[in-house]
Amino acid sequence: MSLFIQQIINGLILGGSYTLIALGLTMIYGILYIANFAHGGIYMLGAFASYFLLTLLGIGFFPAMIISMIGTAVLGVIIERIVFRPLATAPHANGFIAALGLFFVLEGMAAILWGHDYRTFPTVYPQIISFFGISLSLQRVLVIGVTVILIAILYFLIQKTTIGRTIRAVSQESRAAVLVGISANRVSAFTFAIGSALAAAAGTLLGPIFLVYPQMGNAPIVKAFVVIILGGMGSIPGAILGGFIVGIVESLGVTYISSTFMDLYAFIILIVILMFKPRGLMGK
Amino acid sequence: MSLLEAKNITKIFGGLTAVSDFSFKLEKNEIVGLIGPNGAGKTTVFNVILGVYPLDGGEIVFKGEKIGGKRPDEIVARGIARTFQATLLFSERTALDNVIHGRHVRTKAGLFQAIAKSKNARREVQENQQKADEILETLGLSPFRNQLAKNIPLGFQRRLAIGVALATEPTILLLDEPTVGMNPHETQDMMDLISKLRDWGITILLVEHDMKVVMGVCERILVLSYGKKIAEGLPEEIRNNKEVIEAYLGKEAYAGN
Amino acid sequence: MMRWIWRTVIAIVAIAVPFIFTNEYYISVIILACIWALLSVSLNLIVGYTGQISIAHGAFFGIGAYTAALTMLKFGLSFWLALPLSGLIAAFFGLLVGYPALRLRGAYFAIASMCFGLAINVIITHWIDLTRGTMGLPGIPEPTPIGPLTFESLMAKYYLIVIFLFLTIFIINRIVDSRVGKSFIAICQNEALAESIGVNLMRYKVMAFAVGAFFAGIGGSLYAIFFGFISPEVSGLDISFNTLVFVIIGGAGTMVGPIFGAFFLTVLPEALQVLKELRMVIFGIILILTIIFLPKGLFPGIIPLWSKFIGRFKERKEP
Repeated sequence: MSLFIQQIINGLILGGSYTLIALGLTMIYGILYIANFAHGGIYMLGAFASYFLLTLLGIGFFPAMIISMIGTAVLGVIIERIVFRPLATAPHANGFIAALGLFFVLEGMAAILWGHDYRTFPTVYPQIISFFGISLSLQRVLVIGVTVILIAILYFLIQKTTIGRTIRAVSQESRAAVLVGISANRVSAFTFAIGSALAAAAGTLLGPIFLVYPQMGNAPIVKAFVVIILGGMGSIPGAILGGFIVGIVESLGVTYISSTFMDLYAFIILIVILMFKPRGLMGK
Repeated sequence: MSLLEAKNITKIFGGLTAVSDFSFKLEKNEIVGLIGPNGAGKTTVFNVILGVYPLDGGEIVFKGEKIGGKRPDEIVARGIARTFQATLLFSERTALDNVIHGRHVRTKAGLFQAIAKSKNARREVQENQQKADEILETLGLSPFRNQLAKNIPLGFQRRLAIGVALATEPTILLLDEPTVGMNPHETQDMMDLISKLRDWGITILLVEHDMKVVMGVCERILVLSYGKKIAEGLPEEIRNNKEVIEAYLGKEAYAGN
Repeated sequence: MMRWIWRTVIAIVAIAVPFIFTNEYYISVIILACIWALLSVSLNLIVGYTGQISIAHGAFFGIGAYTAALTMLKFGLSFWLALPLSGLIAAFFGLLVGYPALRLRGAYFAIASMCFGLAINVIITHWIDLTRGTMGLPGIPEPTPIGPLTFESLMAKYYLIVIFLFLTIFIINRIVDSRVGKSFIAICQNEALAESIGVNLMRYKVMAFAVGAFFAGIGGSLYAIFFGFISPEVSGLDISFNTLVFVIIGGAGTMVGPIFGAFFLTVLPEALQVLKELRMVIFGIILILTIIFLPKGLFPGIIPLWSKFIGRFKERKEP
């Protein structure tokens, strides 16, 4: 039983990170109609940044994560300006293709700069916490905590603040938004910044669990898309719910069925949801 | 038995009831107008008839067959065609190609016939071109035969869109605001064309905002407001109908009239 | 008229290649380019003509390769039967996956297709009993001789693969010019309009997907007998991505574009002896630049330049 609960908690950690990636993706898609395939690359760069900050500069885990988030946010803004803004008036498919190209560039450069070796994060919080017969490393507990906090911050940002309302206004009616004086460019840049920062956070949080290497973003980004499809495209609550479902299913699958086929569980979820509820659990 | 009968059709989007309990009949060879203020649900009615949206209530019977729930291509095959409010055409193809595209539903050549370039396939290709040329001729579009659709003047693009719909050999044609943005001369041409279409045996359901067109060409008018039918009758009756005027202009306008 | 001149020239060049490039390495690169061209032309049916971005093509390629290899190795099936079988099995998976996946639009379909690609790759890599996993399948035999023609030599394999490339181009061209092809194009241009002329969207999308998969499977079986050895990489995402890049950079929606893309982007990196990672970065940059500045692809972008060039040439001739 305690193994089961352990795995549920592992699932929450996994799922939480998938949610962070998915939130960034769904924001970018909802507002800019770009399926940002390169998001996995941002996730990977965020992980590498934290890794180097930790190992080379000895900075603490969470400070490193925050610096990494800031750095990738800046990168996100640059990318939006150079790659995606020229395509604002082109068919949406073109944005996806550009994202694909960007994905190649990011992964290729990472491979050239840092090689293909799998790097492990040093364990920063090795202490074990035990309760109700369950043992968890403090690291994992903090990861869940941070994930929940980030999701809550994002939710608050979107629902309650001016800039959040601005984003929602643009996503719903960008012509009207322009008339009211909202700069679509600023909203684009801001969206990319937030989305990238969330991806970097996810990379940092999952890095210690999954190892850091150039291709590390491939599977998570596919899963993030599954999360969005599962939750319902355009739905932020759906992305949150979907993320945790995928994470838990994966975790249980790995423990009770097989770990070699880990990546397939998301695929099965995808097939099931496509066959029975293509609009997703909370789809519009 | 009426050609088309819509019984209590209802369509709901999320929390919004776009069409509610709407019933009407279309008899053969009529020109019927569907009018109402913006957002009344007129295009939704089209989309529901054509199977683009599933019905949330009610039933649609065409030539005695229930067509609610059928796919759009099945409905086009049975003989109902439409044009779109925003003139939709294959912009990178010629006028001729556009009309030939419209022949899809009346031809059959499948994948293997395509690969083998069978006699059937070749025959269909020839027939398609002939029929397409005929349609272009009747609509006065022959001069544009080999021009790309995007380069054709807007008024003629609308005719071309009707041509594409005609290529499907429809029994009923749903026209969505065919005269929007046209000058009086073009509008009159369109009105003449609509009458001609009826003379060729096609039943027409017309969504329009231009009252001159509606009064001039429709034999019968249906009025929708907020998804509900508020009036139905001859043009004269509708013109003086209190509720219709209120719906368009607001209660104060009528009171002050 | 011009078309037939070009076709004759290309046919002559194609026949002459083994005599021009006697170096085995060069011929191998060209053979590989031909296989990628076949793959690209088949992907183009899905991406260029029906407008669905698919990242599953590598999976179908891999399914074809493994079907051919396994039936030839374990059951001693003749290549001439294994080849169409590979295509059919790949097409079968195309139908199986296409039907649920094509309910999704745009990028979401792309991701679902990629998901499928990943899944196939994982299965092939880990189902060791069937596929020997990363150890791969060596010793795939050459096609059995037809009469006096044997296929042991590189030259023979070259001609075999070139013939299948031309056959694929021929068939897909026929499809594109037909009523079926017109339906694909209608869907690509405007789905609402396509529906209004009676095109059953799902039916034709799935058809394009399955037909594309069929030829990808054929390509896989050709790859298998060319190298004589396959490993799970044959179903990897790399192949899906590369093929997509060839199609888009070359020119989606044209017949020549993908072939041009495949050859250009296979031969050039080999010629420049570029590292694999750098190749990835360069592809990425070219892809981004192409989609921003020449969204129709390089080949359609070059045609206007070529016409201008010919035009100016003609002007100079007449004073």
